[in-house]
Amino acid sequence: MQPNITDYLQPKSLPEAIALMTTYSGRAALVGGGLDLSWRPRQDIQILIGLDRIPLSYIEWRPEGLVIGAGTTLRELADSNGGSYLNGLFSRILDRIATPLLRGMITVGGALARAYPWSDLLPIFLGCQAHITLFDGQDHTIPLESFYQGSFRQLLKRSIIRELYLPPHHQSYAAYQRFGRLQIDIPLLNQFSRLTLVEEQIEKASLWLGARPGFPVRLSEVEAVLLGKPLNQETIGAAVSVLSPSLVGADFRLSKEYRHNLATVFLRRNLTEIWSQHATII
Amino acid sequence: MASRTVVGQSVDKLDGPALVTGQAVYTDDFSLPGMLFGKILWSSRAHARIRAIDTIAAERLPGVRLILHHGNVPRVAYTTAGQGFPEPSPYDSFIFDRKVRFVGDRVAVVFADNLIAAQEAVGLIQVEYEDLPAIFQPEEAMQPNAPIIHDEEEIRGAFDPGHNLVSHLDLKIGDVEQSLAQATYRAEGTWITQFAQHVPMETHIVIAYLDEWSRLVVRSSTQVPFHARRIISRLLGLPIQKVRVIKPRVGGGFGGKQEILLEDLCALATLRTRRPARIELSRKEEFVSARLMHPMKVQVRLGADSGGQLQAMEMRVLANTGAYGTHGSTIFFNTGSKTLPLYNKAPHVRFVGDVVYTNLPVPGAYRGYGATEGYFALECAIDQLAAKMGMDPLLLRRKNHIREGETSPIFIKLGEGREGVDQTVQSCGLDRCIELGMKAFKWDEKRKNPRRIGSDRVRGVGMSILMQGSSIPQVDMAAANLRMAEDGSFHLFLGATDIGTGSDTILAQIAAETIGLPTHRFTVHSSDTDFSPFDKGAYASSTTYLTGQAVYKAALAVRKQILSVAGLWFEVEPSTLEIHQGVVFNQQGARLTLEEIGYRSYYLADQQQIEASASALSQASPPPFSAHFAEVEIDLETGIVRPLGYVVAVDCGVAINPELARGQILGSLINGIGFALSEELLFSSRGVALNPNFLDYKILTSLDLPRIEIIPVETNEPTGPYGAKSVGEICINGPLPTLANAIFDATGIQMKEAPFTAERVWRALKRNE
Amino acid sequence: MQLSFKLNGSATQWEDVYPGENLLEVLRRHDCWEVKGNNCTNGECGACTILLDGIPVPSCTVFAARVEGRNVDTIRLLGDPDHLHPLQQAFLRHGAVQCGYCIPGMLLSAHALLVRNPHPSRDEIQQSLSGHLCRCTGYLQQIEAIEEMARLPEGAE
Repeated sequence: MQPNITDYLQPKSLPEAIALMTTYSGRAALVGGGLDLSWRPRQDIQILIGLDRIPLSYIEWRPEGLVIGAGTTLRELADSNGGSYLNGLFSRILDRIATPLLRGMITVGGALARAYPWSDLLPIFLGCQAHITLFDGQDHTIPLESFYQGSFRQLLKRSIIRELYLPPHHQSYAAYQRFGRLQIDIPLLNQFSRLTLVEEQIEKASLWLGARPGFPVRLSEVEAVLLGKPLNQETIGAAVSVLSPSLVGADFRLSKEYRHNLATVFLRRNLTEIWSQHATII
Repeated sequence: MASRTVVGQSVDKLDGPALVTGQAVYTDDFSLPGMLFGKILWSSRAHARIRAIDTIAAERLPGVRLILHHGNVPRVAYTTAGQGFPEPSPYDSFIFDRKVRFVGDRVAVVFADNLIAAQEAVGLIQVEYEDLPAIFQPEEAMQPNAPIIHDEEEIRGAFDPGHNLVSHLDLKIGDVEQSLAQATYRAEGTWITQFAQHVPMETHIVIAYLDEWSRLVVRSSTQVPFHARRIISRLLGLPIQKVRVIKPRVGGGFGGKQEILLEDLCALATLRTRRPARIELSRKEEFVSARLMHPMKVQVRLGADSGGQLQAMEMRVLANTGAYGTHGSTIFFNTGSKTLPLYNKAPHVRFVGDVVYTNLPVPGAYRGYGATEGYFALECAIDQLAAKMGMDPLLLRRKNHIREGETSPIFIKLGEGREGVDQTVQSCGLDRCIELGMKAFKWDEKRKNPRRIGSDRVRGVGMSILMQGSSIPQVDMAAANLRMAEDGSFHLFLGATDIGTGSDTILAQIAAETIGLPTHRFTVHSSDTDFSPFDKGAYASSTTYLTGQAVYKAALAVRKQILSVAGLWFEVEPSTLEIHQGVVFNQQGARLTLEEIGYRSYYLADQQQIEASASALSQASPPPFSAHFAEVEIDLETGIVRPLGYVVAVDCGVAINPELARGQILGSLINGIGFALSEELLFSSRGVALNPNFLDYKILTSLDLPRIEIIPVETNEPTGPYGAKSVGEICINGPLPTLANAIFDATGIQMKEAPFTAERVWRALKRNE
Repeated sequence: MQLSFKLNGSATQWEDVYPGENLLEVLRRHDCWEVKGNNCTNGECGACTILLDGIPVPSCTVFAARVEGRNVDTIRLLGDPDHLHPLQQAFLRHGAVQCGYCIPGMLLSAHALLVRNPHPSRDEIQQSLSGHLCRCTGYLQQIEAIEEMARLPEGAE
């Protein structure tokens, strides 16, 4: 029970929700699934604005790509054909996030807004060049990468996430590895790799490292080593060798040294996996 | 042996229908008008004196009814351990003391009309602490100038509180040093176990109230209702006659509820306010301020002759008992008494050790009760010895383990915190456990396989053998009352504490078999101190074995009465009659139902209440035995250990209810695998728990299961009811050494520190390169 | 505030619900003792699981206000002690019930799985239980009980 909550409001549209956010600015919090607020109650909040009545739960294939409404739960996403994105990799990753019960509670919008550093979704969304649409009276669609580079928590005080889209991934291959202490765990380190190959050359690379324990970071130096090269054991080795230990840190769960080991092992395994996917297609 | 109709059947649990439909049967499924909600203020310091407590602001909060702290409660030294009186644990606790000894220790409690007010009031209590130097390592705590954690004058029963020692023992048989010096083969090592928590799904919870006769009723999720009654009575100065303790269905105990942790506070609140009072621990409080498993450093040295016969065994224990000594010495003694007799033929044995106070949360009873830590060390040392000899570790064990008809000098020397009781092992299926287990596991075949799989993985196999005990001889007592109703059904009154184990059902099965009717004709009433006869409680793997004996005796007596009444009716000698499925038959095949006998006895002729009571005092502690086999795969690049398959063979005598026995084996096994792979409560350098939650204290889920095969091996224990021994604890001790031995086989590295997390394994692999 | 919803199929209206309460608290406050749990509000053990519009979720994480106009089912959906559902009987038969504290939640997850997929594989069964922590049993007997149900012909449940 959170005694400081005095009202639970249920607007039926995004404009209505924005109006409430303005009226109760500083005292209100948005509730998608409500999991985060349940975990971490906030003393400064009196008004809850539930988003359940707003039709934000949808999964559609549009020209711009796979579009996911912010109110879609991870369970709904896993059950839909959206899981087939990235040749089914997306579905396999979804099955490892939290627990089946919590997947029925976690919304995509909630996950994006909360942006836990140990997120499984963020490296994948970022690695797939996702775009996020925010509503503040009008819709604004920006690359997710830019969203997180800005002061997104401030932005979220006056706008609501409407949807996310993941562009089509022609000719690209992806792989994902995460470390957990048991099968059910938050990732204590994760790595997402996506490469686009054109005529045996790496034309595009999007490599992300998360749960470092910090927020996911793009492995730009590693990408630089790969671009324009063929994908083989040599380039993979060269790429892994520039993965700097400075990108990872320690917490009481894992040491810096071990995280760096995992990062290099996962990167190598992901790139090798992509290599074999590519070889299979050929 | 006569064929049995009930014992040996997997009868559905009598409380099953209620549990699967969520009936209101647990402590908290209960509310009374005017109930007060309690929240405890816990210490934020590891070691400090309380200079002042200011509760003015807290008292003024609307809804706050009572605040207790050291200034307004009785000061009586006691132990929170639920053990038989006089308890073998030190009296080193107070309801509230003027001192705190760990981060999470009790400081005060607020009772209010609702939880919100109670929690807010706790936040308003001002405490002035005078910090004292804190110590967290047992080695440091034993140093001459270490701060004294228990400097109170009232302390009793600790070995040497001035040096922070709860217990110390040095037991010598023969001359270990000389034997080791002369041994052809030697093994030595120190194995280290972690802080672990029981993680019952239902946390500790108590509701106290005054009934209509002004008697104090305490509803508690407890393993030890009778010990709770006695301790409440003593602490509060209330006659035992005025106290009633009821144990409803319990959501798991595993040793953590063999403690009196909240009852005193709720009872005091009820006595002072005359209102019902409830306290439930949150999950974080359960991790920090309830009880834990004793972390130990166990050094083992073994010496064997050229033929592989063990000549010398030394086990040296350093146990960290945290801020209070509950179960400290008894667990320590058990570390030796449940392990060393397994290799009973070594003539030279030394068991030595210390149990030390530190300023950390408090270990207490935990399923396995010290044997877990001991087996990790001993069974790994055996593998080390086998490796030095170039011998199959299975063969080494075969050459040395105890067998039926044998005894061990340890039995009489090492009991529960004191001398033990001599015994001869009258049932031992360990040889068959090893034989059947190795075959099912394909031990020989797997040991011939190459260890390396591909470029980055290895596999290995390991095993261990185990024994435990069944009850504490000459200490434990249990009793049963059995009473027939006129419809031929029975009321079985037991003190025995079913905490999910199914003991209500198993004991009813024993009675059912003895009298001759189906189990479902028994209504079991257990663990209400007003109605139940005494039972020491659910610990020491004693319920089936010991309470079972009492039930058997009572049932025999009732059977005799039934046949006597039937004999009068049939006008024949009772010895010519039989009972099957609730019907008495004479030699001509004429029948009398138990219902007919019931009505006759109540109302019509030869009127009497058919009933009997019986007690059983434990005379022996016949060990169950087990052999464990596991295969692991290790990812050499990450250190991740994956158990692939696990075979367990268990001799628990006769399994009264095979499916329930299987449940005990599985549950304890999975918990043990958790100890081996992931479970560990961690502390900061200031004694603050870092992971008191499910996010970071990892227990196994359904996705972590290896392939598991369980092989029951039946023996017949002559002293046990229908040949039964116990099965509740033994298997929790297997996974630590079995998986460590499998890792040893796969990599040549002995993991000496539990749990074998990926990072620990990875570092060990790197050091080995 | 007022809360109107369907509880185990019956239209239910409660007047005294606080906006900051979670569903577990509200249910137990109204004597729905069949929903177990320690109110950890993290949803990590799964004991307090109910079905919200047929989806198993931990009730301690759900703000009560969210269920306005929706369907909430507790373990009462399956049966009572004198009329056990075949799934409940299977759990008992396989020894899957020890202390029972995690069981109503597990049964609801298992039921939701079988409704969606009457013949799940062992992997799918293990997945469906993975949000439920159990300390007594080791999970295997529950898996076997659900497998038995999964082998039944269509419509037998």
